[in-house]
Amino acid sequence: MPALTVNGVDIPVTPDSSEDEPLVVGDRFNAFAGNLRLSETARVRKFSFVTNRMDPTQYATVYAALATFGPLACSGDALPASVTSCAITLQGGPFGNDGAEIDRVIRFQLEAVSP
Amino acid sequence: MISLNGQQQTTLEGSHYSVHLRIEVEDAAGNWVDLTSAQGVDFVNGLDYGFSVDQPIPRFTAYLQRKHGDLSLEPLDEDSLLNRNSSTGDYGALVDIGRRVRCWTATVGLTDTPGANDWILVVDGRADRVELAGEEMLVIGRDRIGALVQDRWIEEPDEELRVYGTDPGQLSELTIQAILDDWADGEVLYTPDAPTSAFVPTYKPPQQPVYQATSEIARKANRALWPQYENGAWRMAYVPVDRTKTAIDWTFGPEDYRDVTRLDVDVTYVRNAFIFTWAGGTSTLENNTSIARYGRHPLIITEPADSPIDTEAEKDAFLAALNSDLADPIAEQEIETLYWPAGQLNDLYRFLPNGVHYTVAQDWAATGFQHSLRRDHHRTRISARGKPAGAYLAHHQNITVTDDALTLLINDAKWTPPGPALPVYAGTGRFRMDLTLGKIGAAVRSVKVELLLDGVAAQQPYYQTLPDGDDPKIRVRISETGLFSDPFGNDGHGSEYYVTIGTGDWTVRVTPYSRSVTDLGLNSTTDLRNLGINWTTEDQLTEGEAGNPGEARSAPLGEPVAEGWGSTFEPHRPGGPPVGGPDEMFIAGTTLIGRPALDFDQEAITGRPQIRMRAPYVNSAVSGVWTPEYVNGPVQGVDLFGDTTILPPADILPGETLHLHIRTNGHDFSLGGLFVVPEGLRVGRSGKCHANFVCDPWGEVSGLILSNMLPEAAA
Repeated sequence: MPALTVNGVDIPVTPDSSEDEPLVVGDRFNAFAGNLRLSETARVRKFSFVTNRMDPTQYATVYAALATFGPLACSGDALPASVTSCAITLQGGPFGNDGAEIDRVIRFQLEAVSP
Repeated sequence: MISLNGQQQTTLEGSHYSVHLRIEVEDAAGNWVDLTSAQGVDFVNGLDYGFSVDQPIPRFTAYLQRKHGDLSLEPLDEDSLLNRNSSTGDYGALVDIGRRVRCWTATVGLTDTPGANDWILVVDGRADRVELAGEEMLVIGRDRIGALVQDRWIEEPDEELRVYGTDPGQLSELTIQAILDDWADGEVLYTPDAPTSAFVPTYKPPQQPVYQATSEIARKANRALWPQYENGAWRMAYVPVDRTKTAIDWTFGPEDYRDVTRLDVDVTYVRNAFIFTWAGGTSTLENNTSIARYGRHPLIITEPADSPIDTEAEKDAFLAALNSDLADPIAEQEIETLYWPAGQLNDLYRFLPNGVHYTVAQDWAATGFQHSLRRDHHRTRISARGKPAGAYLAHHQNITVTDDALTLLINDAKWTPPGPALPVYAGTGRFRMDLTLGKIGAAVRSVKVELLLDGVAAQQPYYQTLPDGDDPKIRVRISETGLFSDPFGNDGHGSEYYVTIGTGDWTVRVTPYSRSVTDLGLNSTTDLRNLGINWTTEDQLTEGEAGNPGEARSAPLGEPVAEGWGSTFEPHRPGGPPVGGPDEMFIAGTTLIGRPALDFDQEAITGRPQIRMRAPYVNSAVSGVWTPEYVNGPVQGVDLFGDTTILPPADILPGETLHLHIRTNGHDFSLGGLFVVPEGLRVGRSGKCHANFVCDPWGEVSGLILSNMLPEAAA
């Protein structure tokens, strides 16, 4: 199984990708008696990815998949099994001339609502 | 309390649960659009909503993300796919005023997904206002039915045709329904225990809002009329008030709530001696226990001849209800807890001892709920107090006042702005009015504001209950069509807030309503305190000076006070600091005689300075002589309009204080500014009065008169 697939496109991510602090939609406080009270509507897990260096053709395909607006179909070993839908925020990335062609790297953050 | 299914009951009894919010709006074709999944995007940021015994019409504010990618809720974005009429495909704003808004919440287990039966319709509303400026849009509105009955009026001008009830008496729910049929689109009244035992004889309600008329019938029937959620829908419910209720609806312990955010014991609204005059004579009910504890606080009520209270039994029941609601408030408490959507007014809750605020359990009735849902915040504030009640503050309003008493009130509180005498905008100006009401006597509970043209009501009056607090303020806007409130603090720089002033004599009339008839006795010298009206021209709004008298500007003598006419005045404010700027205007009541004191700098002022009054104005409807006078003699015959320059009868000596009397002879009076110019000079420069009223002799003295005004007796 690929490490990450977005909208049917395999994304060549590097091993040093990471999971960030999740965003918890909810509330929590200590009650007057000291006990914890909390509500939680959703937990948004955030993953930071960096792609491998890609040639222009692959870059175009991957970029198009990642830049698609709206909820995206997401899966892969890098994500929890429960995650099937995600949103992508592109964060840019370096590119360079490695020989005859310009290779590029894309950094992006993937957010997925997870129970 | 809202009926809960087993799952909801179990969830809310726990300490952890998830809260889900869904908001729907009606699109241009009347179809519902779920804003949590509009075009696959969740635009909902949050929701506030709440209601209380004295403000029972639920109000809400929905917080929406204005834009997501190319999708925008901005109503004027004609390219957004959201702004489409779902029937025709043409442009049609999705979010707009007047549209229905439905808000649903669900509370389920932390890892559960809400099912269809888990959702509670917490708001069935209508958008009154949409704020579009920021990244977050605000949709502000009220309960749909509540808004209808609040906005609609009994409009029939002919009193003989404005008749409801029957003789000897019509079931009160039928009378209310008849009013709703005539003026509120036939909205169906829900009466859970119909038929009631309250009857309404033939009577002629005044032209007034439908809700005011119908809720008054309910109050006198010892019932309540408010929107209520039941069986999945909100209805206008005519509910009995069980003042002897003992069954506990819910128990809150210190492990449930975050804090007790308010716990007051207040004597302000206590009434314990009820003197009630009606068709059968005068009856008195005294609660000696309450009198012994709080002192005697009478409530004197005079019923009109056609009151629905026309039998001994009805009178006794009404007095008993007043006694139950007002004689012993016990305490008012507010707790903040995790979002708890199940509450309704007059639920009875048990608050267990928490070791700090009370040592035995307290059983109190719910008086209000304020819910706030955000992405990081799911809270409910619950107010509770004493026993279940039909009303608290509404009992204090002078709803039984006669027309004669009302007229007296109008006279006492009348304020007349300069009409045809306006220096710049006479005849053509467009004006905005901000009305700030402070303490107008402790008795005043609410006010009616009217805009009159040549003594005739030009628009529908506006009623406003004063908010609680030591210094309640309201803001009233003038529009082309009527007066309305601006409760949200918007500065109202839009053109819709103006009215075009013609050539007539415009009058703004403020009528305070008391908590009871005998509490009134208002007169402007003793009870009209901290009343401020900011009467501002369009130009000043543009310059951003309105409502900020501290930054209002002065002008060289010989020039208009400002491009327009701005004013903020505070008559009779003993001991208060001088407020306002050069454009201040003093509006006296009918009997106020002022005596401003001008202290002159010892070195700079000598001789006989000019004292100029900017456009003094006396209500043109009367022909009395306006007489300014000095301590050592009156000066007669001063022009009533335009600037007036007068000289003291004698030289001013260094350090001397000049007392300037302005006697209005009982007529309305206004003054745009008071200027003191040293002898021989023609142009003053800007200057400010200081706290001790010593004014820059080279500048203009203005505003001083307003804060140093004393009634004749005190002077």
